[in-house]
Amino acid sequence: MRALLELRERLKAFYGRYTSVLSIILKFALALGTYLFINMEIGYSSVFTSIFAVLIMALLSSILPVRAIPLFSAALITIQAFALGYDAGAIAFMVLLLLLILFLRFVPEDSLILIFLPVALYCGAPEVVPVCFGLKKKPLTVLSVGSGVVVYYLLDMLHRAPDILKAYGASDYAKRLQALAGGVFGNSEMVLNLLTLAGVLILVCAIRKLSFNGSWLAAVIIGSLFYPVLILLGDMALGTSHSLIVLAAGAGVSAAAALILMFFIFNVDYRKSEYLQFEDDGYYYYVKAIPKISVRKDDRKRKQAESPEQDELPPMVEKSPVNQTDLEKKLEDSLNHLS
Amino acid sequence: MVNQARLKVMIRLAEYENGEGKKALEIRKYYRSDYIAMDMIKTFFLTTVAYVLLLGLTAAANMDYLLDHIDQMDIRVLLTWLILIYAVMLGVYLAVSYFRSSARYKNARKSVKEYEENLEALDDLYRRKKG
Repeated sequence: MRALLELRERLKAFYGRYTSVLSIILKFALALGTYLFINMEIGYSSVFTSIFAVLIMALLSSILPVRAIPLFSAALITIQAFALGYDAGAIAFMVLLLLLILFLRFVPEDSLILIFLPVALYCGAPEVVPVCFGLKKKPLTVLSVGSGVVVYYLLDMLHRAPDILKAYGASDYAKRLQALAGGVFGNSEMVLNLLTLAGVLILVCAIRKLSFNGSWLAAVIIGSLFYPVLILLGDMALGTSHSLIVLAAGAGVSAAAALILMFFIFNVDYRKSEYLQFEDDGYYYYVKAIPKISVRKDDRKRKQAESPEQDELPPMVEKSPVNQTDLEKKLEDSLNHLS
Repeated sequence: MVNQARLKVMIRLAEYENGEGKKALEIRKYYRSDYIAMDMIKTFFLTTVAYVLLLGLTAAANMDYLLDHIDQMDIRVLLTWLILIYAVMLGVYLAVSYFRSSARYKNARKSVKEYEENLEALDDLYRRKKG
């Protein structure tokens, strides 16, 4: 555990030191992965499927805010759909614009959900996204989760579109439009996934806010199990089918990813919880304070100086929830250097 | 010589202007009523566009049914339903827009308050020097 805590501190320090460079590299990797995924699913335009175009878009995305990635992705999807046919392009454009106007403009900070959810759905472990993001985001994030599901099924429909449209002539516009629009909106599996994943997110948000010990862990476990159970119930009701092994693996992956995330953002020692009670003129306060688990810097130095055979671990220390960095003092010091 | 006290305040002000205060300062340029009204007008147009798109997609997805039954439909009843759905959708979005922009304005006002205090402090420091 101690080694993990040290690793976490080192990673944090490393990220803090190279934030600007790492942020560009990470954005580039994320954008590249996203655009390649889209092109793998619906690579109809030879120009935009070429690695050149993808690299240029990824490079541009790396210097722009993260929210540029979903916007570029939406543009790429629309272009690829237009390359397939005007009808497919029109449907893709309308669906994406609808999502943007109705839902996404209320949650502009949730770009990562929109990027990860279609990929997670493709990999068969979609619950990993609402479980992980539910630990940090607000219930309103449900709008992004829903939009991510629709985007995945739009991609899926465009992927199958050549087969769907094969049955109709090029001038059967009405039939083609119906087949394409029905491919997105008439998909009962999409509705099932949308409702289930939205439910997972709301459940995780609600449970992790409860004050009992281990509420975050409970949120992760319940959220990860909720999805496969509801999907199986949905299968029975709708007559669809999902592999039990894939569902179980998805739940496992989701729980593992959320536990790793928890280690970084919510690593506390419940055994040292303190319950405080005090009052002022207007209120009584019942406060539960849980210390964060952390490794003190001098402990690390001491450990390095000691022999490697030493088995006994230095004590874990609790860190006050209040940020103890004295910014004022730092500023004072730097000003002294200036003058 | 560098005036440390003034520099400290100026750094704090610049940090706020370029960071968390960017949006708040933009919002505080408007009166509350103007800001909310602007957001609601934008919502009105966007919701109308969204409704037309939604209608178009629904019609496209049910094209066969529409073409087969268009002659049997009571256009007056259909229009009433369409207007009713539009009114409900618009009402919901306008309400969301109102509460959202009010909350944003309130938060911006709270956030800018400290910034304004720092501005006053800087002004005092300049006056003290002149005096």
